Amino acid sequence: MAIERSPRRTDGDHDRLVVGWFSFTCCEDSTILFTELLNDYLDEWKKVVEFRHIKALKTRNSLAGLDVAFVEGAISSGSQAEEARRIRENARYVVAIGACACTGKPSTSRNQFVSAQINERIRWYLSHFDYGPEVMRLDDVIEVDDMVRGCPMKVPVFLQTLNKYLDLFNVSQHA
Amino acid sequence: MRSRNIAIDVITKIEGSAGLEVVIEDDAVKDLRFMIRDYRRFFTTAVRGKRMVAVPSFLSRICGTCSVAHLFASLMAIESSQGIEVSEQTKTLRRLAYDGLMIRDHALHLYFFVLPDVLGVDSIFDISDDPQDPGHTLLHDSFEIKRLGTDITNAVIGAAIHAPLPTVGGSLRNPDQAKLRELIPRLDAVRPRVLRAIRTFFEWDAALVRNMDYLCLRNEARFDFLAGDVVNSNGRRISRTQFKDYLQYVQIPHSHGEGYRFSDTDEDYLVGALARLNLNRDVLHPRTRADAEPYLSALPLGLPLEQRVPQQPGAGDRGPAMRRRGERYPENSTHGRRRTRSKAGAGRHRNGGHRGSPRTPLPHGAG
Repeated sequence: MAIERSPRRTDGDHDRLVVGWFSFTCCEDSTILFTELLNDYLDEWKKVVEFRHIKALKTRNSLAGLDVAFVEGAISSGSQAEEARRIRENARYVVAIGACACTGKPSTSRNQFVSAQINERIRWYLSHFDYGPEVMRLDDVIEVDDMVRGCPMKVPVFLQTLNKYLDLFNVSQHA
Repeated sequence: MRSRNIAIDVITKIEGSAGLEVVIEDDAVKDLRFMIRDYRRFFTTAVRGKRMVAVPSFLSRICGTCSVAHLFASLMAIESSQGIEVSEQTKTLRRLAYDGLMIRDHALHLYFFVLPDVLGVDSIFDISDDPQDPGHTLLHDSFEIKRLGTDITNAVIGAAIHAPLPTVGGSLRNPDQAKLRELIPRLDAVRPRVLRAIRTFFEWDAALVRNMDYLCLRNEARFDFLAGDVVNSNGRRISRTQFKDYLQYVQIPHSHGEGYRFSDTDEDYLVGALARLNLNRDVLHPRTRADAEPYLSALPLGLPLEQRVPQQPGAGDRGPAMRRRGERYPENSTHGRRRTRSKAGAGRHRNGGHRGSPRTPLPHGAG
């Protein structure tokens, strides 16, 4: 569902789109694919995108004032759900990235386990840490504005989505 | 004498999610907890009941970084279980695809995760845009190297991540030979950039020297990621079929990751690139040995000096001389030729299992 939000910002740098990249429960294949895209696009994107939060590549990260949050992975716990909600509160738009965020699969496999499959080792992990009763896709937890499906994400769709937000925030004209 | 605690809630510039807690009392590390925080997905249970041919593609999703490794591991396990012997062509293509993974993945780790530290900046986004700046040159080297690694894997198995072509017994389609030939001049062209990277990291005044054992695969015929025996710096050599007998599962109370103690030693052990180079440098390609000789002569890195004796090729005779089992080195000793950046000491935690790798990989809940 599209969400009505003003793309006009009143704070910070208006020359670049402020982006965050986040990973929850998944194999991080889309993160790796994103780092591959940087081979071709880093020089161009540095002019129009500020990567404000991407812990795979940066130590100093901030959630404040994100224009777009790209979120990869399914939600396995209450603490992950809380973190996703915090991202939602700080981002004007949220884009689900990859199969686990968009559909939950294959990270939701354990939702289909019957009790006989939950052996002692699995039971220990489920009880010892804060695993939720079920793994959820991202839009089970927060509102999502766009989805880039695929395992890993489909590159042309990701590029189209990024360009859409560059246009929406009138950033492209600064490039 | 000082006491303090260090807590890193989120370790950055790695793949996966992890934290670290260190307790220091009287200037000594008393406790260290490395916490893998990737929620488990229990693939080994989820995979049961799936059709055999669907298993490798499913298990590839254990890790997007090293999906090729999980893909090939499952293929080889299934083939072994069914008594399927693959052709030499399949073995060669798998080696080639794996080499592509290693080229891309090592470059990702070294340039995207480590290079910012070498340059004293936070991230690759902070590296200078000035083409004359050495950091700019190195970063753009990485683009070429990573792209080439990815293209090799693409050409051989159809994709660098979750490749569609490998299947039980072989490949669904042979690679386009014209595409393979196109890779050869690119490999030659990128070689000086790779050597520049080796020199850069060699000259970086930092090193990790730990009292620990190293564990890797060794093939006497070549530097290999897929075939051979498991060897460690204790001198132990075991065949692939025996490997499971030497691993003991360890539940780590503070970590989602499973630990495995290698039963041959009481020590932590390190797998990955450094272990392979320490224990296999004599079987590197002759051209690699020649071009990288000034740097390879520093190996084995991270091993105490007493262990640094020349390796002897040949089955059962590959390891450096070992200290006696259980013997420890003084906590403050720095055995390396270069300055110690991080030392294992009395406070090393004893949860077993596999540290390190080309890019500090973190398991994604495979178990």
